[in-house]
Amino acid sequence: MNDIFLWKQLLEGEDYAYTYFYRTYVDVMYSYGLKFTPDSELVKDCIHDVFVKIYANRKKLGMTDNVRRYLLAALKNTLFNHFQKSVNTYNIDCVEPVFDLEYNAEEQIITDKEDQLQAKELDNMLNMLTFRQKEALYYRYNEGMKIGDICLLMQMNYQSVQNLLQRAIKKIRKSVERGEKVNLKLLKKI
Amino acid sequence: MTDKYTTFKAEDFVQDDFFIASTINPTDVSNKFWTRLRYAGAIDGKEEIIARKIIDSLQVEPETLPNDEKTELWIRIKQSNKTFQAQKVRRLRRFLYSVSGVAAALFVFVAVGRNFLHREQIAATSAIEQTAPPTTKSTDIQLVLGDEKTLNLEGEEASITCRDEKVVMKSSENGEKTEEIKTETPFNQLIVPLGKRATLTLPDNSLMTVNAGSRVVFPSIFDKDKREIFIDGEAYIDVAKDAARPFIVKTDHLTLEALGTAFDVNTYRQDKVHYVVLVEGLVQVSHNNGSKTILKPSELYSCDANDFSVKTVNTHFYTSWKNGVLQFDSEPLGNIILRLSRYYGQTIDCSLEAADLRCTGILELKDDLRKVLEGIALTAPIKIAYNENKYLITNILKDNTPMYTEEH
Repeated sequence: MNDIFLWKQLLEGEDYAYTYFYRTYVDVMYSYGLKFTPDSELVKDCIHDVFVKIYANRKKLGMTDNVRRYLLAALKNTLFNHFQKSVNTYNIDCVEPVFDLEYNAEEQIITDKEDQLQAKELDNMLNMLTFRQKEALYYRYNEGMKIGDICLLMQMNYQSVQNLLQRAIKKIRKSVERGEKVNLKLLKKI
Repeated sequence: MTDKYTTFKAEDFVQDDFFIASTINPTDVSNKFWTRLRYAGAIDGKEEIIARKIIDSLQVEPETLPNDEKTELWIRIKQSNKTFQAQKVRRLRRFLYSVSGVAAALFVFVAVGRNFLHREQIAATSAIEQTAPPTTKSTDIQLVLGDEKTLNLEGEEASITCRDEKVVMKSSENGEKTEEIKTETPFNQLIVPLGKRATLTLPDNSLMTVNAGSRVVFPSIFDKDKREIFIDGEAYIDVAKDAARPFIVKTDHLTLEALGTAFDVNTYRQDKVHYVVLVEGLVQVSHNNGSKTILKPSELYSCDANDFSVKTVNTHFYTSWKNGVLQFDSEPLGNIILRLSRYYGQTIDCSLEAADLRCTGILELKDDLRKVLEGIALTAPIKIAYNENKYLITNILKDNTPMYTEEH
């Protein structure tokens, strides 16, 4: 709500609103950008480009219903443009960078050995998910976005995003439940 | 009670926007909501746990940009903006050169610039800031109604409530008094001398806790489009929500504009550094130097007459005084002594070497000043002396340094 008010202020040329958006979203953007490339300098360059572009065009920009999504989408586009330009230096067919991240609940402080094993199994399964699934899951369960916003970021329709998420959730549920059963068996043994 | 969730399986929970929000950003309200459903048996507990486990398994640690890199990147962005702006002007000028004369173009630029500056300067002062403090000094809490009546309140603490053109005053010594206020009189003033404290409920129900040595100027009735007050000193303000009328606080260097929020303002005229700490909500701070900043909760805005800075803090350290407690984390003893001297209304001299000592901990202000100072002396290497109505604090380890005095 406040974001939308401040976005209006930004469009009217108020510098403090611009500063506010940088301070509020630079970490979110940085974290997000690193999912497409491990190159943190590149991510910083792209954040730079996004903010400079917003400043240069601030009087011509349109309204948005979600500044967070707007900034992430802008960063994704900027990163993609950059990859497109440097496609010659990358010796690959695929121009699009892919969204990837590594799940490692295993590394969190779990003292119980069985739990550790279980977490490792779950991580293995999660890391086998497709890039698109990981991307959609990240928006939904890390960024807390609504399906509608994910559609805009991934340029997919509502039904496809929902299917993508549902299929992933089904797999995760199975893995979580397997873990539960192992626990039960152990309990009975004792 | 909601029965929407009765038949939910884990798959349904993880697709529910509210359930997701409650899991990744839980609040007191959402925690209570789900606990209630669980106890009432209105949800399948097993399925809910699986749903939570699914969402938990998907959490990844966010990466944060180190503070220095954040600042560096910001400076780079600002630099690029400047360069870009300069290019635009150059391009525009080149265009104008080719179309018509140079003089006209330059003249327009200068004129716009002048006008803009002029407008900013006019907006900076308003009537409420011009209200002069009363000429007579008193050791009692004073309420000056309009230009005419001055009411003295004995005792260390007082509470004042303005409502329906009446003002109700309560103090520890005087009991309760009610006084009519004339709405046509311009502004009322509350003066809290050193060693005293007061709470003030404004006509819109906003609640202020006013610290020792402070002056607040406020109208009997707020305007239709804004609520404006002036503060010299320190106050904690819990602003009543009223989206149609912004709450505006004027101080020597700043103008704060808030809708419903809670924040602490510390702007003693005799202090060099003034500050504002936001506890909740959103506040816009405009400095007399023309800069504007939006503060988010837990941010500390500190400034002097020319410049300002913002950082994230534990707000408790800045607001605990209103509950009769001072809490510090690695704070120079000099600052603590200044606060104590205001709170108790006593002069305390402190050597430079003692003022530099860093202190961490909590001070209860219920006891008398001597006990509080002795409490500090238990852990800090200081010596306390008392003569001629003054406390004198020196550093035992580094003696014989020049003294500096707090003037009030």
